[in-house]
Amino acid sequence: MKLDTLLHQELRLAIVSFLANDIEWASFNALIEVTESTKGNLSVQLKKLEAADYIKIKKRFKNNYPLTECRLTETGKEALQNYIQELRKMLNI
Amino acid sequence: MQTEKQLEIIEAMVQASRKSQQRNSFYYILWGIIMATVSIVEYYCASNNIIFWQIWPISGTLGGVISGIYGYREGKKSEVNTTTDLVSSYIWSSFMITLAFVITFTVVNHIHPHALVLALAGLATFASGGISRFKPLMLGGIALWIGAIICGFVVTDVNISIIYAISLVLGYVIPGLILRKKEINEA
Repeated sequence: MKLDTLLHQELRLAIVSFLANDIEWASFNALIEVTESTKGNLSVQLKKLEAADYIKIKKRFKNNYPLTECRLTETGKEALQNYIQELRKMLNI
Repeated sequence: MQTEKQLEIIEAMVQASRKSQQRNSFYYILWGIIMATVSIVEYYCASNNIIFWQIWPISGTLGGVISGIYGYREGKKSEVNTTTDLVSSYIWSSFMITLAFVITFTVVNHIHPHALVLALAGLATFASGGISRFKPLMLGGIALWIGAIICGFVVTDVNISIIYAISLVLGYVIPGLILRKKEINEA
């Protein structure tokens, strides 16, 4: 049994889990609030997830303010499903 | 990281995403109150032989402006968009387009629009309740469908306005108030 090392980190797992549940997209600020992380840490972890194609990051302007939109990709969804499956195996659920 | 901790994180995020849905109770309460009030006025006018059909376009425009301002303000604040919100917006956009057709068709052909409008509102409300898994809205949709049947086949003339008002209170206002309570509790 091998757990996905990218998801085997609290903040990255929280980001992907949040985006996987009925979320089309979430802003950077929303992710800070939900995960209770710092801007710097969140930014680093988002970049790692984006590099693995687990999430897509889009920057745009909303009411003259920059908005960073994060959404989960199919690869990210599959990775989380596999990760949960592995956890279940470990716990014999 | 321990397995229990991972499961806790996943569960916490599931709960957090559930709280991210947009606040839609305002629209149900607003339109329920406006339309129920207008139909009571319509009932009074019809009972006293007063012609005041203009109240419908006036109230519709007023409701549209208030909804537009509220929607714009909420949209500015929005930081998350859920799939449920997206599907819901498609349902209500389809409702509005079909509603415009139904009202035009019934007015042009001199038919009471009440039964068809209630049937259409029932569809959108029931579907919205279903996708957000919120039973009071689904029951509201059923109440609107029952109102549509009564308006279409049981009562005639002036009493249609009273059934219309009751249906809107049961189908929009009451589920809207229950939804509002839920939104406040989850905030």
